[in-house]
Amino acid sequence: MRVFLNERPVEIPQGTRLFRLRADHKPDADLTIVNGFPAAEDRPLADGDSVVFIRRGETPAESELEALLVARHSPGVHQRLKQSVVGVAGLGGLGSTVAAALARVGIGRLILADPDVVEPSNLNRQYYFIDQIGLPKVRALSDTLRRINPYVEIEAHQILLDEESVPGVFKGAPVIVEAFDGAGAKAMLIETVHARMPGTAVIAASGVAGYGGNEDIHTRNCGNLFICGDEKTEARPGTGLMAPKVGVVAHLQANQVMEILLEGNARREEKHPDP
Amino acid sequence: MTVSSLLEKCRYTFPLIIVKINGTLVPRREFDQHRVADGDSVDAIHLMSGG
Repeated sequence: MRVFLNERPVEIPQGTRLFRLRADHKPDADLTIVNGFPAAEDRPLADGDSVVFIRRGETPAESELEALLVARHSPGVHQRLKQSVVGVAGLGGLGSTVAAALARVGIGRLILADPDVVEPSNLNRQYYFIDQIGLPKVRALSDTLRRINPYVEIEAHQILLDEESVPGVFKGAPVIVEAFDGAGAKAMLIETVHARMPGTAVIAASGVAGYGGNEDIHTRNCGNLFICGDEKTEARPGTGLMAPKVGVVAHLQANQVMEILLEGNARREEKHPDP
Repeated sequence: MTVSSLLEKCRYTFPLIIVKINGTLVPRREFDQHRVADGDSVDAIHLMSGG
């Protein structure tokens, strides 16, 4: 029968047990993961099982690194994410956080766009670091993402997006995350994608300011448009943007991207029928 | 009734709103002309700054 050992297919005799496989391939492993979940006890292996052996603290060989990065994924997910392309419009509190989450799960290609540089007031919510102050966000975030997962292809655009540039920049992405700060830019992106990139899903955000109010934060679906946020708390003097709530919404957006990529349009329309 | 008058009637005065009628997005520039028919399903999404 065939099992996947650190993502490599290997043929083993029927009836081979987990600990036997470990003894043969990596006897010094102190962490064993089977089909995305840590396994503490011996068991017989089945055809198609995915097995990963890790020795804690050891940096894996280049050839095995990518397999180990996704060892805890649900089985079958990695290959599909690796073939996916996602656009992220804006790399502030929402966009930088979404991009990092998608990089961690091994999205094949990220198209990132933002005109700005990192400045200190960004750090209360955006995924940048003190030593990156002054760098263009596309550069700083690309550097960070490569340190998280070097296998993600990154296409970075230091550009202020408008209705002319959006279709070209995000060409090839079936899903675009709207992560702008201004309501005008949000509307521009939603309208432009709807008019000129039909069939493309937009995961927008509205109402991410302030703190608390977890029970009001949600995702709403209208066909190809998704809106994450509480849809009521606007950023303005007296109501700032802060990491906890911005992070919640950003991860709702990233999680929605996952659902679209992995469950496809048909399943989505069944769960969220067009009104 | 047009999209503009419907939004006014519902007191949706927020400056930036996305409107979908029966699943199709109506661009903002058409709000004054686009008519809403009896039985139409209208989604109005208020866009708030912040992100």
